Amino acid sequence: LNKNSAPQGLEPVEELDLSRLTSHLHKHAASLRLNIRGRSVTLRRFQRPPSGLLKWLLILGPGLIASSAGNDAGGIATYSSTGARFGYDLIWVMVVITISLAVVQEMCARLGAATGRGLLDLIRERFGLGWSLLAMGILFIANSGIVVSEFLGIGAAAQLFGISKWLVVPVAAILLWYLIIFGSYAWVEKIFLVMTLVFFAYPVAAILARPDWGEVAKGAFLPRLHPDQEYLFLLVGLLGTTITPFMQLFQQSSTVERGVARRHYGPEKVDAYVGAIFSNLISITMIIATAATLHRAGQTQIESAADAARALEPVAGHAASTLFAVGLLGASMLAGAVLPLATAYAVSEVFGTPKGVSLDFRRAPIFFGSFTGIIFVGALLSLMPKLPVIQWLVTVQVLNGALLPIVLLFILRLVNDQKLMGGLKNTPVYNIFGWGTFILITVAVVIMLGSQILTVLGVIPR
Amino acid sequence: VLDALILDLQNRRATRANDLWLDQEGGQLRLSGADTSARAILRRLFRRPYRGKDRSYLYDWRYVEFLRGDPEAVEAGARYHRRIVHLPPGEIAHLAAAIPYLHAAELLELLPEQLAADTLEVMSAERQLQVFEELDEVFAVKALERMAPDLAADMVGHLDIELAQYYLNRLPKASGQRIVDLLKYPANSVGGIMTNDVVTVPVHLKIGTARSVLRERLKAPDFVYFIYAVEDQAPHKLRGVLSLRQLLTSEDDQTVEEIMNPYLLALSPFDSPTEAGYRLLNSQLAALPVVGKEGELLGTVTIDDAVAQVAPRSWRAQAPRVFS
Repeated sequence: LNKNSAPQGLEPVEELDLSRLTSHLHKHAASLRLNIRGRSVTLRRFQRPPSGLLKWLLILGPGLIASSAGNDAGGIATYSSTGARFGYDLIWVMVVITISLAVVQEMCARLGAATGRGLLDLIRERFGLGWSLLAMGILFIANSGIVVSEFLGIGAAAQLFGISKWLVVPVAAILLWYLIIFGSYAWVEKIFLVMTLVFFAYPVAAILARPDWGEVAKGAFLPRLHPDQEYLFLLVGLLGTTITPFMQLFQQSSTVERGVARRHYGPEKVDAYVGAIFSNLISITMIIATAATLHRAGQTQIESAADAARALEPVAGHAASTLFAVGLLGASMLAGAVLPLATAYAVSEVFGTPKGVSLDFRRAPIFFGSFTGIIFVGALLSLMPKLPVIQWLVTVQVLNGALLPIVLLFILRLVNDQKLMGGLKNTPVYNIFGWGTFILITVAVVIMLGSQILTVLGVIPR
Repeated sequence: VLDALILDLQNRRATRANDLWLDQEGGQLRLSGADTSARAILRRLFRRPYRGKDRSYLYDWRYVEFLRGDPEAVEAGARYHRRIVHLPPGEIAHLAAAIPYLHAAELLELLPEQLAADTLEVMSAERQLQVFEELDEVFAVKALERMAPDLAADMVGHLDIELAQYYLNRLPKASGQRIVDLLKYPANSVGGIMTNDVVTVPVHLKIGTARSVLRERLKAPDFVYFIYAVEDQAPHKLRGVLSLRQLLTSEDDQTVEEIMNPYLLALSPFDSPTEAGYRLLNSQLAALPVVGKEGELLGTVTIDDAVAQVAPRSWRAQAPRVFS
């Protein structure tokens, strides 16, 4: 503690008797003087809380992981398809929803800290059985679709490496399952996170591809609308892949698991903000890089992972596909672990059964059963022959976008509940952003669904 | 209550009230059971009535504790069954680990202060802090006072400094001083793992007198296996040790000095705790005394503290606290 910032009653210790300390204690023995019953006592037990950069690095956790998992196979497919098809014209959506994502993720972290409970747990208790089953059903469908996407991503990455997906996908499924159930996952998670750092190649690629920055800026800040169904479809896909329901579940559950209490919540919100901004910056550069290469070269459709990998050619040349494959594998594995976990939490919260990775099959059958089921069924479905990979990936993100308003509605109702949130209730500014996001997404989804229905009915020509 | 989190005390688990059983009594409805099975969910979904005479998966409401998720509800006079007080502290801590932290704090406030203290002692460090910070201040002070000083110091050492100071100033003098004395040592030292709640007896006392003097002291439920013989005058130098068995089996007219074991293996408070752990385990004793510069007794390191230093981290979390 320095003199100026010391709280009342505490003053820094000038001189310490270190004569009896063994050498390794010299470094660690931080001490402070506390005023107890009018006497000043030197205490060495208290650990000085980390300060400066380290403090902020330690806070980063769930938010960064949730957001990095958001840039998964489906994310890459959607961003790449967007860049290839519409160039810079949809970047404005990303700019708008970066704020939305940060706000939504922060609200979930706050819900977790204020109540110590998961999202579905709160929905069950506040809105009853019916609503919680509906929410669970939605999340189950949305998440299962994405789990299939992740294994498709893993398979695609394997093929870029020249290995058969028939070998890699089952191995990856078993590996993920084993690591999470038998406990060394916390360590492995860091490896997956490091692998996703490969996506830093996208910002570099975006710069090296020499995009027309004037056009990029226009695309980012001047919405350019196309009277085109695919435009709407991709717009909802972008919303769905960026603000994915599982990310909210995960953010809240892991805030709870990290033991963040309401009194210590303040600095934790930085995690949600940093995660959202960081992952969306990468997403935006994915769009720019694809737009500046594929779209400019006239290729507006992405059919395979190899196509998408070409966006990295300006930075990696011939190694582009290998680089892309490493990132895709890392992101897909990360999300492939996070998603089944988040789903298993949701299911056990609805049924009120024990949950947590630290338990075992016997004590938490529903938790581990749904976790196991979703991983292996997902892996199996992804191996279906003749599955149109990129279309599946994008369509699942659109489905997520379509289901998002319902999940957001629950979150917004809960985070405004005075009895539940106490002093951490939503402020008006948060409500403006929160409800704004809700309206934006709902309008986009309604217009998209409406136009799809009208097309099917033959009112609008295909 | 429907759909809420409840504690099923018959099965010692946290679960959810999937359905409720109401009895009609003199024109009033009385809640008499909770159904926590998955059948209840199906029944509600398909709007079927409760059929059959089998009530085996209905839990008697009297053995269910309904927590509101609000620690302040306890003082506000909400009604509880409080049957939880019959469970051992380890079991209560286990239940408290399975529920959200606000519920856990509420649960703790239902307990008598001594039981709350014992329960706090066995909780994981993280849950302990979450719960302690949510407790009512008066209750928190009383629970802290009743905790073993080494475990209390562990907890206080993790609190925010302002909060720690607040509580240390409100503790009764004796127990507050014991905790403060322990907080003087860094966490990674022998002083950081020892306890100073030790039983001492002056060396020149006759055994008969010692027995009657110690009778009151031995009523406290702490670890007492060794009794330390110290000099009458300050700084109360440590002179020897005797076991409880020796104290009980010796003749009344012998002095403590005659039967004590004067050859002491002692630790210094700034030693490395891991080395001290191995020394204690190698010595095959249940505890080793810790002495200061002038030979004065500061505390003891007990076998469970030593094991905690030596055992792998995953094992530590599950290790029962046997001796303190």
